[in-house]
Amino acid sequence: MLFKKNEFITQVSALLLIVLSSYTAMNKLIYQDRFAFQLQLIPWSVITKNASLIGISIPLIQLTIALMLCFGRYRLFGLLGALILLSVFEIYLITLIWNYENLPCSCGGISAHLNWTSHIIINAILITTSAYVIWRNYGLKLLNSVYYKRKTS
Amino acid sequence: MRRKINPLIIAMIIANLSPLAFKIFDSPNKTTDQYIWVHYDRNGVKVLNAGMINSLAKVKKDVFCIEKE
Repeated sequence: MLFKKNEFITQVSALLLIVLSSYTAMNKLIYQDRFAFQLQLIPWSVITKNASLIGISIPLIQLTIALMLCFGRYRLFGLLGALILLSVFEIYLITLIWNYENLPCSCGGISAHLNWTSHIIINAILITTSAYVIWRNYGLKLLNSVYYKRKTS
Repeated sequence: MRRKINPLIIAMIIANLSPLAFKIFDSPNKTTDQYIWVHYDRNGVKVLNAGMINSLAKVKKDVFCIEKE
């Protein structure tokens, strides 16, 4: 029963992350020039100088993560990738909002209609979910294997 | 034996195709409207009212013009 509940949570989280990553990645690819331009408006020279490169690489990374999440064998890497990407985005959002006002939103589709606070909240929920799934499915297994290795040796 | 299709792959394909579908069905006459936006600076002052922009080259040109001013 516990396994089934775990499996259900993993599948739902994977589904959520897949839909979010794929949808936003495709939006960014479709409106690539707009996304790159909005990146150029961000007041960080590292981003503005490499706007075109970042504009292509972010959606490609998102699509790779979504693809990895589809397959059980690569799901851990997909979850880790999503966790890292979401965390970087969360830090970036908080830093920008903390320092600047009226920033351009480079999100695509439905997420473009959210305000910054909603963005941060949704991101935080997704970070927590992916971290929980990683810990629940892989962290405990890793701890168990380390524990049994020690016990047998 | 029939092979079971991974439902997550189906979800991914649908999520990938939905922005395309929205682009095609939602705005058949608004293709140029997609590129209209206004940017405000940190004091809330409008610094860019780009108008209709169809390519990144035009956008860069506009930004350059504004920076020159």
